[in-house]
Amino acid sequence: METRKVVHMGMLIALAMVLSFIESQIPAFIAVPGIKLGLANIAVVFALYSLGFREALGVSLIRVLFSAILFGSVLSGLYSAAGAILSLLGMALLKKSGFFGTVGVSVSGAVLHNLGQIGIACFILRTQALVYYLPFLILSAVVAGIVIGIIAAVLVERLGGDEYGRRAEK
Amino acid sequence: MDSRKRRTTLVRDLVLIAVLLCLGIGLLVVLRSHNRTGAYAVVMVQNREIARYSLAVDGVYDINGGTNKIEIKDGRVRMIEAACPNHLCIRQGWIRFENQSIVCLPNRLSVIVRGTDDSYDYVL
Amino acid sequence: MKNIIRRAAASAVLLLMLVVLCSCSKLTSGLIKVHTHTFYPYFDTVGTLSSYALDKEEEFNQNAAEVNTVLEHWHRLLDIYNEYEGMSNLCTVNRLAGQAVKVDPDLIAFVKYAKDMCILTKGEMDISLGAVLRLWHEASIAEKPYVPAEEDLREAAKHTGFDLVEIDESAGTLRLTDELASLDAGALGKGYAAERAAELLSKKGVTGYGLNLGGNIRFLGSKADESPFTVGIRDPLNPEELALTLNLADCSCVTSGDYERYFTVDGRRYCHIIDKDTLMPASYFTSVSVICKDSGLADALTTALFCMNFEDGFALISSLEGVDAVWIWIDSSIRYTMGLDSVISLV
Repeated sequence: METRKVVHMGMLIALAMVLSFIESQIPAFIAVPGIKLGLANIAVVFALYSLGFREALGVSLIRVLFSAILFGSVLSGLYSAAGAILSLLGMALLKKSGFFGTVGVSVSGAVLHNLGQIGIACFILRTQALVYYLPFLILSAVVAGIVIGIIAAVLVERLGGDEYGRRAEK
Repeated sequence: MDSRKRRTTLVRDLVLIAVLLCLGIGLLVVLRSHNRTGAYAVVMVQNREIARYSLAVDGVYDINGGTNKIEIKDGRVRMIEAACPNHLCIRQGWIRFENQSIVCLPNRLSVIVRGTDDSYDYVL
Repeated sequence: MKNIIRRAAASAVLLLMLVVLCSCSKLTSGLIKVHTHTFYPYFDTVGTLSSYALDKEEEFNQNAAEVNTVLEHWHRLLDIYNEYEGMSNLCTVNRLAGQAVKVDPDLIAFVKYAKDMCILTKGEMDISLGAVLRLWHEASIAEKPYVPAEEDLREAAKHTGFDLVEIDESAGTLRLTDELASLDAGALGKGYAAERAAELLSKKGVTGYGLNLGGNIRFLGSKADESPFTVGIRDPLNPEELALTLNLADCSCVTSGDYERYFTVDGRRYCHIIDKDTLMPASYFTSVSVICKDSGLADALTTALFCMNFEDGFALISSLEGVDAVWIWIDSSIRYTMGLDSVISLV
């Protein structure tokens, strides 16, 4: 992997972690374990549009790993990872299909992120009752997704450009 | 992306958002109504459940072979009669939060609220 | 690239199916599966042990049985109304006031702790108030409850004070130097016993449990999903509603309220916590809650704070590290210490 890309990814990972940390300082307003705005996804969505799926996956997973080590625990890391993987796969597919714009992709990513977290929590805690939180998580994901999508879109326009798309076309 | 494509995707984005919002609100409504009718008062003697009454239906019930009597009204429950010396159980008044309980110690009896969305692990 | 997309699509579909399957199963209410065990009637109240740790039922039952043993042990040692065969407890010490009574070293440890607490709270929490408390107890359980006469209370007060308690550790005995004095551990017993039970579970590495002994709650760690335990405190003006909620983990929360145990005479309510200065039930607040790690400390402080005015109580709590408190007045006004800022929600 070329140095420029590695540096690029490193910066985005660091950015994602800082955003994750800032987010952890905001008091949880609903007593749902692990509910997060997902600010760190700004970096992930940006990575997806400016670098590509593989690089975005790297940024996402490495961020989850380091965040879990530094700020969280194995359990929160597991929730995060499940959400992050599901979210990124979904976003990559939707982006490739060209059906939705950045905001739509980001919103889908956010919703899938929360679905992934709830799904894994249901599985680990052996209860289906967490489903009760679904509506709140979907609604908050939509809001968060819109914000993140707009920010990422602006960043991509100003900074990155769609290198992935250009590379694929070649 | 050229501006026409941008406009189409923007429309699709908005439709997606609208759909998800409706889904979220819809689920909210469904789950809320399910929870309310699901709330009940569980009567336990010595750790064993002996009866269960829905909090959605008003009524007065003799429990534990008549040693105690409870009243359910407007989604709350209270002890109204008890064959015990100090009637501390009656003085507890109405309860309605999940996990809240009224205890009649001499009769080893508790009435616990279960199954509502108003939940706290302990209410003091 | 196409290969990766294809593989990613396949895994995404599978994951989505898994999630959807999880989510579409029967909607049930209630959260993490909780085991509960109830204890009757230690310390004249109901105790519950709850596990939010997702452990197996056998494991939980084992823990509950061990906690039961601990609670029974302390219930017997601190009982002042009954004696038990083959052992001397507080009832024995009271009955044989004037003589040295050989007791279990645990009881000696307790009395020493109670003495420390008495000093810490400047006498507001005092187990040697037995003579006075007995008068109030008898008044409350009478056919027709009455208010004890002031002269009787004052006379009884002459037979209180920790200087009347003689602890001989080497001989393993307790002696009340005044024959009319008696000990009453009501203000400290629950918390102390709960802490001993928590100690036992802690040594086994148990977390995610909550032990509630009649308003004296001890949490071990937090729940299995790392969320805190939620505790609601009632609003005195609207007892059905809550005044505030607390999100707690790995600590004790003890509440004393005037609505728990009381008797009524001529329409006036007399609660069970007696102020040593007035010899009457304390009436500064409607409820006081203390949050700190040690349950015994919390129990002692709760009683003390209930009998002190706000300024003195606040000063006492502020002087202690790792201790927080909430005061609620009869008009529903609430004050609490800064340490609770991040865990308290006013309703």
